[in-house]
Amino acid sequence: GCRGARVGLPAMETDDTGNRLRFQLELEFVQCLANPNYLNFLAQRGYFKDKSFVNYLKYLLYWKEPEYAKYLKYPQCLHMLELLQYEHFRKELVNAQCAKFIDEQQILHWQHYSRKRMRLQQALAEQQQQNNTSVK
Amino acid sequence: MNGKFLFAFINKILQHTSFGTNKFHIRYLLAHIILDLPSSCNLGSLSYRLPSEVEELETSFYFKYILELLIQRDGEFQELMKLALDQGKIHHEMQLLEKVVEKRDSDIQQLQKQLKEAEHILATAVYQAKEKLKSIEKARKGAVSSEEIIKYAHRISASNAVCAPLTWVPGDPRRPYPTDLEMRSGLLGQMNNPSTNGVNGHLPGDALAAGRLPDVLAPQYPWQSSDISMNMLPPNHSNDFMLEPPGHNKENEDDVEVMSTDSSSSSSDSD
Repeated sequence: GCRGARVGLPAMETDDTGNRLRFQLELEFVQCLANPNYLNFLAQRGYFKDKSFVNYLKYLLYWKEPEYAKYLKYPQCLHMLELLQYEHFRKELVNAQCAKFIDEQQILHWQHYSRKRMRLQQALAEQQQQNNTSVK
Repeated sequence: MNGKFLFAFINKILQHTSFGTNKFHIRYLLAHIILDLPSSCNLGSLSYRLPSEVEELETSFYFKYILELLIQRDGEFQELMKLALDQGKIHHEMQLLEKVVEKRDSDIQQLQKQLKEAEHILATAVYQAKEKLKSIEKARKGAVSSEEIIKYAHRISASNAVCAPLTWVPGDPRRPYPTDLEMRSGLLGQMNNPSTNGVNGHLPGDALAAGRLPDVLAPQYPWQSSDISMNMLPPNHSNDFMLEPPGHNKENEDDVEVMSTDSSSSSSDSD
């Protein structure tokens, strides 16, 4: 296939519908970068060695702007995007252990707030119990 | 002995006498010595007098002379004393003035110190005020409406995107990133076009959507942001990412070429 092919919408890149579509696609794609397994997948298939892909990653940094970032469901992807700007990181992602490590850390961090909240809720519950007993 | 010579001799001695307390003593001694002079001293025109008379005359003459010298010296001394007194007064005044000058100097130094301190404090205050202004400006620039923040907080929390669900246990398929399933059921995943290689924003979707996957009519996963304002557009970009953006540093210069054309047609096992 030819390199510069668009997704079957060759004429639409220049008009609004095409741009809106592109917006959605890029929105989805940038959030996919939050998935370390997906990054590993990309690395192993050599996408990170493609210079135009690297340029594309740099282009995607516009999602950091607040007017774009507010559409992100997974804002963590921005951190991954930032890391992906570094060649060293891109090279490391070829290793499955690296991806696994990132995955584990992400999940642990993800749980951090819920754990904190549980502790808070417990403390609150205990306090309420104390108040109830003291009132009585 | 010649009277003239004696006269000169005494004068000389008196001239060279320093101003000290012994001055009078010396004069007294000299007078005494002169009075004891033997009468064989020749006084010239006085030679016709009687020897005893001459002697008396001699001594009284010299005595008178020395007394006059004494008086003269005393007068000079008095004047010098007066001068010394004046000089002393002036010196005393000078000392007083010097003290005053010292005091003024220390006053000036004190003022200088205080001025420096004040300047320092003011400079600090001005600096902090400037910083404050800068941060105010920054905050104003980045102002976000509270409604937006609440909306956004809701978006990222309601779907457990940033915080794990409270009932999460290992084995739960939910993750803090879009999972495989979610990715495939998204817009990218739906792209069935086989010519979706190339790097203009759609590429890794091709691997997933190579047409081998079932047409998943998945429920609308919340991550697809169905409330995207349809007026939202991505920034303009040149469609060819091969071009170097200005100032881009060359990283993988060696690895540029052919990979991407091959990669999409090669087996694309998703993991």
